[in-house]
Amino acid sequence: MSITAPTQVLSPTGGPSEAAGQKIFPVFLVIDTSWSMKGDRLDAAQTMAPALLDVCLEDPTIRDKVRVELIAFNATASVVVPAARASDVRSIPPLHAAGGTAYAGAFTLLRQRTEEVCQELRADGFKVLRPVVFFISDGEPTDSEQDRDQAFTDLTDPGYAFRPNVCMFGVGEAEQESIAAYRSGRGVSVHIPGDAARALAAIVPVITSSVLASVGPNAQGGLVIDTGALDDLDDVYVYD
Amino acid sequence: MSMTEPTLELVAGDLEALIRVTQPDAPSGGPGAAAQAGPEPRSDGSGGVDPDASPTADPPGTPVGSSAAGDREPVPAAVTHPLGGAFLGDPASLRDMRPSTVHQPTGLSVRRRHDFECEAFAVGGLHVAGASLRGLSHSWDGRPNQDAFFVGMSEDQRWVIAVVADGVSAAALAADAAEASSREAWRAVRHALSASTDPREIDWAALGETVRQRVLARGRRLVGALSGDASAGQELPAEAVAEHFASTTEVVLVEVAPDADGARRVVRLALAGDSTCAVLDQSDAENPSWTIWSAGKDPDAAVTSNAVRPLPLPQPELVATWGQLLPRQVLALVTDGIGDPLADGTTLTGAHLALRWGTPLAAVKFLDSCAFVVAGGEDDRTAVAVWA
Repeated sequence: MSITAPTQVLSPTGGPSEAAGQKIFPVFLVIDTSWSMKGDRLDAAQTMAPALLDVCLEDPTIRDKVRVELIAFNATASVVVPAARASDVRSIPPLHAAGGTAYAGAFTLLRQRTEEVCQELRADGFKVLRPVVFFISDGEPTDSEQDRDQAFTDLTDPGYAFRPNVCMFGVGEAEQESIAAYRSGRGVSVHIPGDAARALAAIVPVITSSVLASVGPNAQGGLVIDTGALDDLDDVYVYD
Repeated sequence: MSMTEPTLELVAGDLEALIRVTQPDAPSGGPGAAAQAGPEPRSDGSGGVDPDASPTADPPGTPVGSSAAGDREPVPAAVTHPLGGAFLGDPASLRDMRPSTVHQPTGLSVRRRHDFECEAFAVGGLHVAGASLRGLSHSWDGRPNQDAFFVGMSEDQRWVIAVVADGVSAAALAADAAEASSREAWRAVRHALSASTDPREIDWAALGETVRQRVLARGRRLVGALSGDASAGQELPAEAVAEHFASTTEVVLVEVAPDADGARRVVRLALAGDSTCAVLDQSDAENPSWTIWSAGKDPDAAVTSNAVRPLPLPQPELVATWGQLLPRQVLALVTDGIGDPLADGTTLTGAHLALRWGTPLAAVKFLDSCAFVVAGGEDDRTAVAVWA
């Protein structure tokens, strides 16, 4: 080989890789399950993950490209559905409302899970697109501002290779300032005061259409947040 | 030109084990295949879609009347698949794609883009083939192929000129942009070669800016027309034009006459974007290897990106990169529809193309070689190969 430009000779060794070249889009859906979500709010939130998974299932051009992880948080945070392609999710455990609203625990778990999920995908030979977090909360955080700021800084540190784009959605009693403070990267913050259950239902198509716009047939490259579904709502505040 | 067919036993052996050719009785073909092949029902207590039980609407692109199959035998998946080439490994959901005869009106193109284009020619010991294919994503949503290519000769017949372009999908005039960008690059390079006795003296930076300005001018006219007033586009900044009319563009020149050692000079001009230029080396016939001259995307990045900076946006100063093509090597210039699954060459796509491109191919065979189905390979595809 005598190409004079900088070159790298790469002979097939160990058999060709099936995963190499595939680009995977990790999507983290983070839902507030504090006590204030009890009732119709939780019912509305419960539809988010299935709706996202169904959109992935229905479109074969993204079905294998998206990995969805569902995280619930209140006073603590936990993984409800580990990152998986839509066709591999067999069940989604019901969410239960209890406790306070600690953002720090969710941010800390996200820092851990974004790294684990991305590293695992890379170890399997996939290429990884920058993860996105859709963070939904209906109330003011009850943990210490210092703790959640530190956890958020760790999650979005420019030196952290898998730092996600974070989209914040605040409904019900969530305040605009505390929601906007935790948007990052190409994410947006959306504040919808008023009827929280209705607002949560309105967020569902924003999430699904954004995933489609980001990696679907006409994706331009990078995260695209499509808030068009909110156009018919009054009192919607979108910051990007 | 004398070509000895290389022995590709190792690659062929690996590949045969990995390629699955759909048989006529395979369950994934025919109308309703996508729904039939859907996953098992999910338990979520939310009324989510049960793909086995719910009579869902036909997906975009389903031919009218396709559900009324009557008493006709189902058409095999190998026939109905939009690409129809070899299945590499498990193409997962892409194996269940169906062709679309529906083309959404896109941009202002008067001419309907063909789903496939190909051509090939031989010149002075070189064999050249080019092909462009509508990808599975656009087959799914009814958009046309948004890639374009040009292959041909310089006026003095001393250089093969190959151009590939990839319209940015989100732009309404993506297909027009790819055609315009490849055409303008072709024109400018051909003119520059005609006006110079030594390509090393060509002002490539100026050429790059000339191409950009011509693409911008074309884009302004079309974007203006899109708004209903062609003159309205004349003052638009490049950024505004690029929202609707944007394309990657890369050029490769190969000198026809070899030197005393059989080597031919190669010039690569990356005007914009994320195309890949690679060389298939068959000097060891049993272990053909890919050398990625310029990868469309950083292979070492922890997080990859699909974002590009296309024409007509301002670009870094164009610099010509010089190389050589040796006997029994194949130079490939491809858009990311092939470059991404090719990756570093150690992929299924790399093995498949090494096998298929071992010897020069006629135009239609070359097209077929690019019609493989592989997981993650849903973008439009364009390739130009030059066999030395």
